[in-house]
Amino acid sequence: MKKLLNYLPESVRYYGDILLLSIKIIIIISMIFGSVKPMIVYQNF
Amino acid sequence: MNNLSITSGIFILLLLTGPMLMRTPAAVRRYLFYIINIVLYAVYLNSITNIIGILVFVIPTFLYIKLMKKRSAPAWPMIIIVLGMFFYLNGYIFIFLKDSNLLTFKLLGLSYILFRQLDILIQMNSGLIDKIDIVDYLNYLFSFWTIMAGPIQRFNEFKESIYAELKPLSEKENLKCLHRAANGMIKVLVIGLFFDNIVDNALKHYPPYNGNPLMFLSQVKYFIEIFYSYPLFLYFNFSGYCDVVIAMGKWSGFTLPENFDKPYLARNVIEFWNRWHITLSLWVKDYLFQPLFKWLISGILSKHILKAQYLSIFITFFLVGLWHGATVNFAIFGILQGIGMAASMYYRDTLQRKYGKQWYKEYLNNKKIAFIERFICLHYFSFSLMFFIK
Repeated sequence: MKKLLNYLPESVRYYGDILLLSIKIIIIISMIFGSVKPMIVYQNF
Repeated sequence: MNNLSITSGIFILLLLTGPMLMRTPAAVRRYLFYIINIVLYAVYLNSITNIIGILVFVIPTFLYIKLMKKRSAPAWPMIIIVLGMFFYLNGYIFIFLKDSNLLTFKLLGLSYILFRQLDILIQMNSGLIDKIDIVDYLNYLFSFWTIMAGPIQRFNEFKESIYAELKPLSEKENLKCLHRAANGMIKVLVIGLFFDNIVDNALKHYPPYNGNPLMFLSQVKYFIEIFYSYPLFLYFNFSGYCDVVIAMGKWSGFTLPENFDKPYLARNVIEFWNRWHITLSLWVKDYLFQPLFKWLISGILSKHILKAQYLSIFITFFLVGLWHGATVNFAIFGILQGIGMAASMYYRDTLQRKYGKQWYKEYLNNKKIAFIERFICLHYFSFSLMFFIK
């Protein structure tokens, strides 16, 4: 996805970047509020 | 003990407020960092027994460091005491004392705290650390970015980072940090969890073999699912977490070492451990492999340098396996890693000795051989992980 942004004109690339980050944040928030609580395996060692 | 998770509100809040809290002048930063670390750790210990346990584990080392500086005392007596306490607190000793009434502890990040204490003691012994005060000592041990599962930072790198005069990041760098942290979260929460569900489902439905060929086929199907999904789950789970803490640390002006470098593209077990949990590999190389190798070539294996090398690497990675837990499964995992390391070393040395360095260079450049080696290495590690699953 990030590589695709390089095909955008310089003036809109920044906004594309912010949009992509927002999408990622929405996914993360929806996973967290969807009660996803994974533990890091290496935390147990 | 409460469970500190990558998705817990307090951890996310600390990561997001990091730049505000940590991008303060160095003199303020270390005290602010100190308060956050101590409060966070105390909250997660959640019981007076655990708090006493951790104090008994970390304070004697600090007092001993002061003694080392004053009286030029050697590090080894304290190293033995710290290791003894670690074995007790981490429950290793209970294997030999079944139905014991001894106190049990649940301490967050204990083995990472052990690595840091040993780093300070050994570096102090070598004269590489000049002085250390209680604030730097506890900040290093309980740094909230790395307390959960590393990466294992060295004391001098930590000190450099905490005292550095920070330059503001450019807009591009800020975005890069946020993208990496978000990618890390997605690796843990989405991709890692996807493979974890496959493994969980396969383990749940794994049928007992009763001589029925259909049952055998079903076993094979579930085994393949576990065999390929578990290594992917472990990679996305751990490297995702590392991406989050490294990126958010950088955003806050705190440099943490890298811990992964495309490990499943490694051509042999040596290369694999140079790409997987890199900070652990470097730690054991410096503090286990090298002293052991030096001890062997100065004594019983003085005339057999190669044998000393293979034996040292085997013992080192056998202990890495045992570090994960004192069970037969982790011992087998360690033995497999040790054999893999020693065999990779032996194979490389034999090829170089037999056919010469120029031939070996061409061998390394051969794409077909690279593919076969990667395939074997990936499958060997995946096989060893079958003993890793709880």
